Amino acid sequence: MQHRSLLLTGLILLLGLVVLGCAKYKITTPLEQSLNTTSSWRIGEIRDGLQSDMDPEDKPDEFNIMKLKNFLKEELEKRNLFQETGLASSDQLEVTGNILEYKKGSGFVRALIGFGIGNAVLTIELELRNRTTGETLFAGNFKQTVSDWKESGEKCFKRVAKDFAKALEKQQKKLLKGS
Amino acid sequence: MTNCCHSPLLGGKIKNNRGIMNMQLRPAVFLTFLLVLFVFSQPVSAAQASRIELKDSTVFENVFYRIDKTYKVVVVEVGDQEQNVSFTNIARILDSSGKDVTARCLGRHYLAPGTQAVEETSFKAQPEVPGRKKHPFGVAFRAGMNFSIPSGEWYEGTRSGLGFGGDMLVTVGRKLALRGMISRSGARHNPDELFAGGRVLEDNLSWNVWRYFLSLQYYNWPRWREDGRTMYYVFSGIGGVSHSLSGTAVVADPVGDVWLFSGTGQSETKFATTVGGGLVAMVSRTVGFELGAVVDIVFIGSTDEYDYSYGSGMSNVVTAGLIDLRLGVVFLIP
Repeated sequence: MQHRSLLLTGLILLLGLVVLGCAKYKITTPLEQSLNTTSSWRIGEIRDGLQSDMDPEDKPDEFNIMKLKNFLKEELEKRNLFQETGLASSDQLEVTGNILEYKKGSGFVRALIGFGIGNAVLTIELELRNRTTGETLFAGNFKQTVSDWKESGEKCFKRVAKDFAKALEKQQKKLLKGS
Repeated sequence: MTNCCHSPLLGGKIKNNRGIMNMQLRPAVFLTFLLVLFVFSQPVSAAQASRIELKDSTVFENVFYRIDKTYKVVVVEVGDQEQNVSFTNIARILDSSGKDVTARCLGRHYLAPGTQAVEETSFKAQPEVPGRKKHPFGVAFRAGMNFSIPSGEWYEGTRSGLGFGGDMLVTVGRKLALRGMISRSGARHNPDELFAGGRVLEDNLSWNVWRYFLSLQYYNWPRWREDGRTMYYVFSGIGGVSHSLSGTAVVADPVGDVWLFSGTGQSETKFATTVGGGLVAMVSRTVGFELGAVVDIVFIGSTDEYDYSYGSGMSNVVTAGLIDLRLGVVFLIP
């Protein structure tokens, strides 16, 4: 009886992980034309779209933003979607963002209290736009949470960057397959 | 004394063959409930809008929409398809009667017309401002009442009641504090249940439960620098619960014999954990009223046999609980 209960609990937890572990985003502008792989691109500005009454000390600092940009750069480079040339003024494409929700969280609190208290949260609007025309080619709102006390809250930035790159790659592949 | 003293608290016989709810399937049922609640907790009902205007000049007319606060998008139903629109791209939402409901829909993400998202420079490291306080308080004290509800077979023969207690908090970091708690539980002995089967002729028993805990508290006090009014907190910790019984009771058993029961000198201290939360409504910068709830899990032990000074028997009791509803006054010292 006890083994059956443990098995059932384990299955439910696994199902929960599958449901919760699915990529967490909503696409707002799907990619309608496949990307030109010779296009150059860069990481642009990440803006503050947080609640107007948020305490400045609760907002991410410039180091967090730098890390997010680095993670975006890494994930997009991994997928070889286009050619990257850094911050040249001739770059054709640009990835920009708008942070909509941010909680730094605390691993210490997650360990000792749990129940969602101390979770790190990041919700960000990321978009790929054409710098020349200003047109948004691909955009979505991405959200990640760190609830494990062993993980750093910065994992949110890495996961969001990964989700963005994966979503863009998925759309690109779908378009190439369709053509 | 037969058929009396069923509570392990008094060292008497435990009631045997009592139906005990199957605890083993509870975790699975609870997890299933939580999973279903989470998966289906997204808003499903859509509202009708006469007009939704976007900042890129797109306009939707006479459509259904719903707000997805998780991803900060407005989901617009266009024909049989759904289109996600980020909060940042919403200029205006007019409901079916033409009323502007943009601020209500977007909540704290609403930007008045003419304003736009702040630039990246706002994320620069904040300069140190002389005299700017980092924490709402350095030390805090709390005194108040608690209404205790004992739970579990080990607390058989007891009933709920009012108690009192005091806490001291010391800030240890941003939004963190160490909380020391001492309280007397309001739980009281229930002579009718304690001596079930017998008739209580005289009851001068006194059962006291004192609790001592050290906890880590996480608190959030939105806008405290601007005299924000409410602080929320949760805490979790460990400690001990001390149970002591004193006084006497005179009980007549079913066959008519009269017994004198003495509780003097009997006490038990058990390891326990505590978890709780609540809110503090501030009436001034330093004084507030607190409303909260706490659950103490008392670890009785996993031994099959117990041996009290007034008897021995068999027990499969492992934990018991004390649930408190608390009301008190809080004093903050900067």
